Amino acid sequence: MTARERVVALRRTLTAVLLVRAGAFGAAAVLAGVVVARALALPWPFAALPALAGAVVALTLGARVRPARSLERVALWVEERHPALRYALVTAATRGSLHDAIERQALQEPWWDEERRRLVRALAVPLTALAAAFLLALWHPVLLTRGTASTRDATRSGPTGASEGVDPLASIRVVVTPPAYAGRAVTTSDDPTSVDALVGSSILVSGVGDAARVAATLDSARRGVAPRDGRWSTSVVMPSRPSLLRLRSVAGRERLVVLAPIVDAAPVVTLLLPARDTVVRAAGGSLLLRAALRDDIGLRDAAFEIIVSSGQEENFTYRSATLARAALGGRQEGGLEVRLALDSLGLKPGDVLQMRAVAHDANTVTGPGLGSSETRALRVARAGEYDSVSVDPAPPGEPEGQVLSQRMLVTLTEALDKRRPGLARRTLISESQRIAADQARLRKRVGDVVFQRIGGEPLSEESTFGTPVGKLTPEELLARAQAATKSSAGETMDAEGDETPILAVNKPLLEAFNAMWDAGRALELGETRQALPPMRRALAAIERARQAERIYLRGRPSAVVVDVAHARLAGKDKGIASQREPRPVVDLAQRRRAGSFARATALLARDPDAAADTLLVMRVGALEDAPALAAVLDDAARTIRRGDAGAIALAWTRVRRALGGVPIARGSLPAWSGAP
Amino acid sequence: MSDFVFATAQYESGDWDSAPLLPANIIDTIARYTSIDVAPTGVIVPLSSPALFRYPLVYLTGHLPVRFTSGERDNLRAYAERGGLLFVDDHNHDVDGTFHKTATEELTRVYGALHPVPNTHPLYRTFFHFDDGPPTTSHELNGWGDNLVHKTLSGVERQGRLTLLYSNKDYSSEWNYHPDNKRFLSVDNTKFAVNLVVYALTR
Repeated sequence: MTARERVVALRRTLTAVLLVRAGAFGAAAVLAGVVVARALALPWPFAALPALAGAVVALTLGARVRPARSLERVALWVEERHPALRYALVTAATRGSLHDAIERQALQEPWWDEERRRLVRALAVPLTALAAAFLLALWHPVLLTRGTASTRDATRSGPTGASEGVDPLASIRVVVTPPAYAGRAVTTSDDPTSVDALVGSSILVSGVGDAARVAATLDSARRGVAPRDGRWSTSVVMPSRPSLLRLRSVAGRERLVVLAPIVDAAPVVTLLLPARDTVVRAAGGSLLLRAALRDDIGLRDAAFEIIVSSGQEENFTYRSATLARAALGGRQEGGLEVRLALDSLGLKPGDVLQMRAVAHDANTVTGPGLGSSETRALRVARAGEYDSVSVDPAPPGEPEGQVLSQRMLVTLTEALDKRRPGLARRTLISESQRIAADQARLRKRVGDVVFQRIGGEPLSEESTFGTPVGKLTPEELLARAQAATKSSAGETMDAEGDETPILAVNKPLLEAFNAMWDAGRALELGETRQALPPMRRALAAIERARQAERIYLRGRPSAVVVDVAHARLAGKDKGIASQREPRPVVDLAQRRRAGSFARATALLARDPDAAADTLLVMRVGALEDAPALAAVLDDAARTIRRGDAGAIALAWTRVRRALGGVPIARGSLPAWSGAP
Repeated sequence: MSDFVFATAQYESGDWDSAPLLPANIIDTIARYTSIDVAPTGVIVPLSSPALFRYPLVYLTGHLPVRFTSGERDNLRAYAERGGLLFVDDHNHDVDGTFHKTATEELTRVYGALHPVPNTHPLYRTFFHFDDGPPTTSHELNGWGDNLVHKTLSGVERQGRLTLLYSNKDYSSEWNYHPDNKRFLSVDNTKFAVNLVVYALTR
């Protein structure tokens, strides 16, 4: 083996050793950093630092391989350690074996064995460091295992040195056991910001670590924390109001969990039959009662309740009873039906029978919840009130007569139209105008019915609505009818919808009123063919009015207008109650929430966890009266915990919108009043 | 626009209009004793209507069983939250009567449990002074109803303010006469109504 070949071999060895050293030191640095980060429970950005440091070490050391690529420098490196070579090795390595003397001189010293041993020895330190770091990394989980095991004895012996390094609030687990009556499954969740569960649910919160190092408070009440299965745990029962479970470790760390109760809703009971209140002349036969029942969890039982009240003025007596009680066995939906024999109740004139359905749910924790339907009343009319209360099931008399009259006019007009080709113009006009006069009289009767019903004056030549009363557009007719209704005292009764019930029923009559005007004009001109379509429309409209739903109205109390000025011995008053503006809503809670949100916004940049906690505290209050806000607050808190910057901005916007309330929509610009 | 309009609650069940002359009488009383800008007629406001929120004091009475609809219940709950005062009077003045039983049941569902209003309550001092609490009515011992003199009224307070006042004293009968007939009384028996109105407007 020539000197040059030996230098080449040594170069390979040197390169390999340098690379191994760099890798070993780098890996040792990484492992050491990971061990430190885990021991201190640093968040992941800090845990990435050791990897970075290891890479830097490896690259720095690895850079030393570069000079070793030169054969001359490797030979000089050997010459430095063996001066007796006197540059013969460099010469032989770079120029080959030019002279035997140089070759002999280069091989005279046994430098290759000595350098190879030295290089191998140089690997000892980095490999030892790597082994040590590896052992340390293996040793750390052992520490955790020991810490867990030692918590069993923690309450007896106090905190151990090993467990002091573990953050007991690093991770928590919540197990929710719903109340037995709900029949729902046990649920488990890790690291929740809030727990939504039925009121009365058992909630077990636990975590890894020593029970003595954790304190728990529910709102302001302290809760016990005990060791259980090698973990700390505390249990609470879901309260009926939103609450805040505060967990604190002795190291000062705090975690908040919002307890959001789901309240078992009362059963929803709908009375299907009878469909409306009724007044009867005599109560006989049977009455079918039917109700639909529904509950969010389960129904226990249901029944019908009836109250019979008899008497008048100061003397009233009552009887009550429960009918058709049925057990529903926890079903979510059900029905109830019974046939009530009215004869058995012995109802007398003036008696009122009130009926409703009631249902209990199966809630054994905060209930049972009671749901009841609307109440229907069946009243037996007194003989003396027949003039003021509509009792008979027959349709009103006036439209009945008008139907007959209109039908007769249609028949007469059709007959006249058939005879028309054989009649002289003068005769045709004369007969047609006679029918037109009858049509006008009938139209006036229809108008009287409509306007008298709605409290206005009857239509006549002296009508206060202005003369003559010709064809009106539907809008004009309705406007007049509305005006007539509003002239009475109870203005607020009309404020609920676009039209009064009376107006709705009378609409067909108003339509007939208009059609008759068209018919009358055509008949006046002898145009029988043009008169017939509006006459038939009028007939159809009157028939619709006959079939319209009948309504019964209470008598309106007499309106006494107090002469306020007279009572004060001064002047007069117009006697019209003005509409009042609603009071502004006193919303201190909204203002408080806005303040809390501003604080959370300020905290978000420097302490996201504190900002999330602030939102969770806000959520406890919002759960009671602002469920939409509570939902977005929870979402925002979770987003902050995740640390997603883009999602945080979006969640923040949603919270701000939910806090702002619903925008006020105005139908039109306010009336000009000269004031800005 | 008047500062105060007397409002009578209209509800679906029962006879809400059993004291038709009472509003005029109270309006007359307000005009006599105070300078409150009072409207000369009362209004009838359905309990389920948003119009309810226009009136700081709403009067409700009746003889017959009271069953609120869900709309009435929800509206009344919102009315209480916004600070309105509902004055309920049992026209039967009978604690064993159906109005009392059903009305208190319904009111409890909306407002929570009713509690006696102490006779030292500010209500009895806001305008006239009633040192013995609510004034007795001539109807309490008229042989009808429970024939008891009720020492206190009941009510529910929120944030230190009455939102519900419930009476078994039958003020509905006591005050249900035409205001012109007030001149025949030696002592005006409607003065307590002034306290109700002033309390509702100022607290």
